[in-house]
Amino acid sequence: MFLWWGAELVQFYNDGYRPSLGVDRHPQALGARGREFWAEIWPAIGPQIEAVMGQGESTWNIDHLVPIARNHRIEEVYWTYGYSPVLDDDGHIGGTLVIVQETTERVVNERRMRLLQTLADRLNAEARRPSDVYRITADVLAQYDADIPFALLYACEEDSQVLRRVAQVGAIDDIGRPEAVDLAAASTEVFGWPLHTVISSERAEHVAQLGDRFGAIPGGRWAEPVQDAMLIPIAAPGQARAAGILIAGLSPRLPPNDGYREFLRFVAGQVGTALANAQAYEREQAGRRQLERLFEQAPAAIALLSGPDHVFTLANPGYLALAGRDDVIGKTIHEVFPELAGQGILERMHQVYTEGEPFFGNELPLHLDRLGGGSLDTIYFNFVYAPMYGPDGAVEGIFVHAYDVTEQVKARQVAEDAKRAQDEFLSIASHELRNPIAGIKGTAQLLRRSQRMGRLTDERLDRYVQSIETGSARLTTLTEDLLDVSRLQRGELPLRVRQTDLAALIQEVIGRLPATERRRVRLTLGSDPLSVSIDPDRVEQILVNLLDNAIKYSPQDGDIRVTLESDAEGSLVRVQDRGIGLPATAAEHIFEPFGRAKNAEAANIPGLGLGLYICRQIAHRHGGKLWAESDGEGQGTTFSLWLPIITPDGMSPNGG
Amino acid sequence: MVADAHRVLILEDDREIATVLSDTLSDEGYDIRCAANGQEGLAILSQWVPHLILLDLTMPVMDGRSFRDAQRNLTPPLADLPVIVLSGTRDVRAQAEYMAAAAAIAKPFELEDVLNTVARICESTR
Repeated sequence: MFLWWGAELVQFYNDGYRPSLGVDRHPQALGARGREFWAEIWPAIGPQIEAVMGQGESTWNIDHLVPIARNHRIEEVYWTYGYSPVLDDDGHIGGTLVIVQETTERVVNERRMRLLQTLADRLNAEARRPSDVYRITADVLAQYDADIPFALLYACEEDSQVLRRVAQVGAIDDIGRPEAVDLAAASTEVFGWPLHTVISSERAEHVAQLGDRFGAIPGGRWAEPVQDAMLIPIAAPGQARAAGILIAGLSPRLPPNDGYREFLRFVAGQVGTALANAQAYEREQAGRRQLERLFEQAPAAIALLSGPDHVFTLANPGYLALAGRDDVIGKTIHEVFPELAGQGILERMHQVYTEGEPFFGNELPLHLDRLGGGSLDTIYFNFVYAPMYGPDGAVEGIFVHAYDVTEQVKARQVAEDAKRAQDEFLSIASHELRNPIAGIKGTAQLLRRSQRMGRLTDERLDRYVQSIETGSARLTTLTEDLLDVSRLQRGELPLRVRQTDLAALIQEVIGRLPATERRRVRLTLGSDPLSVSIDPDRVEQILVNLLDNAIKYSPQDGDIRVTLESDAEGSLVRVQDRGIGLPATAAEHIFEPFGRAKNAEAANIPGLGLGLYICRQIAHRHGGKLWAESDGEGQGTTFSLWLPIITPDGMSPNGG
Repeated sequence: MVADAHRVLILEDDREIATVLSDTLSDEGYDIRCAANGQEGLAILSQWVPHLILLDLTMPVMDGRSFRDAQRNLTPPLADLPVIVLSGTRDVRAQAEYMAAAAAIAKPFELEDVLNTVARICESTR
């Protein structure tokens, strides 16, 4: 309670009013003249008091800001007060009674509560990343310059001692707001702020007399410069060290007391919590991105299908590449792979869905239309169909992990084919070798028996010797073939090249055939005699082989047409029969070592399967070509031998 | 040629071996016919019933196994004719057993073996 009395407005007050005077204005205020004592606020309160004294009007003010000078500063002070006239003994207005209550604490606390609430709301709603936290904090603090005329936010960089400035509110000289401070390099405070102390002690620090350190710092809405600042460590919940520091300038019009410190602690606490959330969010995002990258870049085909209709919900690029499709999400497996119907695999998938047991496919061949043109490729897969369970434990979908093993399977098939060919070779070779040996051995024993029995006529002797010669010749040919193959595989098949009349060579080879077979051959020489550089013995070997094959693989009365055509580059010999022909895939196979066409094997036509292999190698050594063509089984076969006029470099005439 | 000589059908595509077998058995008094493949053999059986068949396995047109299948489906007594398998195949004995042959002889062979085996089986058919 406070009373101004008389024309001089002499002041009286009780003890209840004393705190409003601060530490420095009592007892001088007692008995002082009002107009002089309150000179700084007289423009605000003077007219009200004059109105009371003159007209007897009472006034009532709630939470009215009436800054007063106390505690050595002008303070932001709020009052709820009433002025009412007091009558003197004569019934005239003798003074003004002030019923007053200071409400500064409540008003300032309410304002601070609003700041905290706004900050909390916005951080919760908007902050995803640490940068959001910094931005929002700066935004909100800027609206509350009455409490925080300036602020700096420093964040500790991960895995280092560097503090980096991440937000600024209000104005401060450059020297007071370094961009980054490496605490490891600066063990003492070099920038005027006790950053080191705050981080290591994790306690707030009060810095006074800022003007001495950084020059005048504008006080925001207040005219006076900021003199005090508080440094508050920003603790991130669940983390070992502080996440950063909040440097908050204190209002020049409020005392830097415990309440202020608590308020700033709450601000820093909210920032810390938001940072921890943002970092957790970022970690989660990073983990998610890593999973996405894993999924995208996994060197395997991965897909996820959901529901009983098997709808694609996820498919990585590996899967799309494997499937030859690029638009699968949201479609059923039936829509994406209509060609799989009837291949048995969709039934497996459905079984996994209904029974919840995984299915492992091992080198399973599937026929896929990968190019979308309607033609099916056979692809071998290793794959897993694994049930995916929902939170209720029921199967929700199917996880597909597939791996294309076509190359491995094919490589193994080639190896197995080679092994089988070798086994067949051994079986054929044993038969082919044993027959002539059996003939020679049997004939020799027969010869002796005949002589013993006195039946060895000249005719018999002649036949038996012929038999032995025939058998020996067959063994010789077989042995030569095996030796040739062995030489070819070691790269040693010398050519003895001479200028040779190819037409004459062909005629000579035909002339040496037995008369019955010679009659079947129709020879056409399409050009004048031509001299070519070849090894006549090796080319003869080819011609003999082709003619023998034509005879062996065609009916006894079938024509065999032999033609020779030449041009400036080379000569082409064709041997055409009307025999068993070649199955579609055999045209190349027959030139492989031990390679025989299936129909030749089936007909039990003897042969090792080496002749054509050797012939082609001889043609290649001449820089030429040897190939076969057939319209199919039973349609006859044409063998073509092309030899260049000039043999390749490096083959000297008569040389090796 | 004696009237009650044993008749032997030889199926062998190798001309030299066929000569050895036919000359040797003829010298011993057997009545011989030769065929170069299974089809020719079946043709002979339709007019001439041997006591025994000497059968090579690997022949063109119709091989020994196919011939044996066809022969066992003929009417008796042709279906019951004993067969001696004569082959250079490594597993000649297993093949012979599988074909229910009376005997197996591996190539190259001893003439004595052939004669003894033929004689033994002909005796048992009498």
